Amino acid sequence: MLKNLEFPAKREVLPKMLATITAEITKYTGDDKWINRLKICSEEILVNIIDYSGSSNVFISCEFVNDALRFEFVDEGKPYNPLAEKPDVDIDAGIEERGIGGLGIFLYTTIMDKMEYKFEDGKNHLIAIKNLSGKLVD
Amino acid sequence: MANYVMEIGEVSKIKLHGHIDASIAPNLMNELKPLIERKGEIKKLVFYANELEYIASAGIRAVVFAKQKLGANVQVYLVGASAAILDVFKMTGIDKFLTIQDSFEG
Repeated sequence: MLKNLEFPAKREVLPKMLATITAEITKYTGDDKWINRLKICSEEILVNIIDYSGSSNVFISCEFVNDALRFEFVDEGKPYNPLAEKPDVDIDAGIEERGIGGLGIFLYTTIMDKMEYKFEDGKNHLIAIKNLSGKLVD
Repeated sequence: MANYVMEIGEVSKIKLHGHIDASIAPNLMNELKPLIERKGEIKKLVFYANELEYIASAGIRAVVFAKQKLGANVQVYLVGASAAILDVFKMTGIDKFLTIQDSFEG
């Protein structure tokens, strides 16, 4: 379990954050596809925080509850709900029409079973849940 | 010295390797720019992915960027990618624009 692990919100720290998260994920699944997918989700969320939140630090939690991995990413930046913006990604569009934005949020909202955002105690909290047993999360 | 681009020519070759996360992807993008400036010479662009362990959206964007800039007449290959890597390309729908092969001869 990772509980509120603090990292500087900097791109050069991203590999260390991802290595820490990946080590945690592999405790609960040995499926390369899911390890990779969950790592990508974590990266996309963290990159948004690093690039746009203005927060100096990011706090990462990850725990396994009821067959599901529950991630929580907390930052002290300006209030921002990434889930409020529907990603404008059309995966059936031609290559010339493919925009370069929105791919990250598209990936994590597609991969995760459930996501929640709240602004609490002056902090952004983004919660992402993925059930690894194949059951859908309520 | 280039870290990814191995050869620029009629068949241009790029070796993707390791972890291409958002902290690394700008290096790949920078290497692709001089290649794209020589697009008149290029007929095929081959991304070798045998040693690619991980790619996130920032890396995918670099591949999309190359495909868009080179235009419809240049065939872009993704060669030797693992199932986990292919999974990301399929989820984003980018696989449709690439010729996916286990190996590349020539």
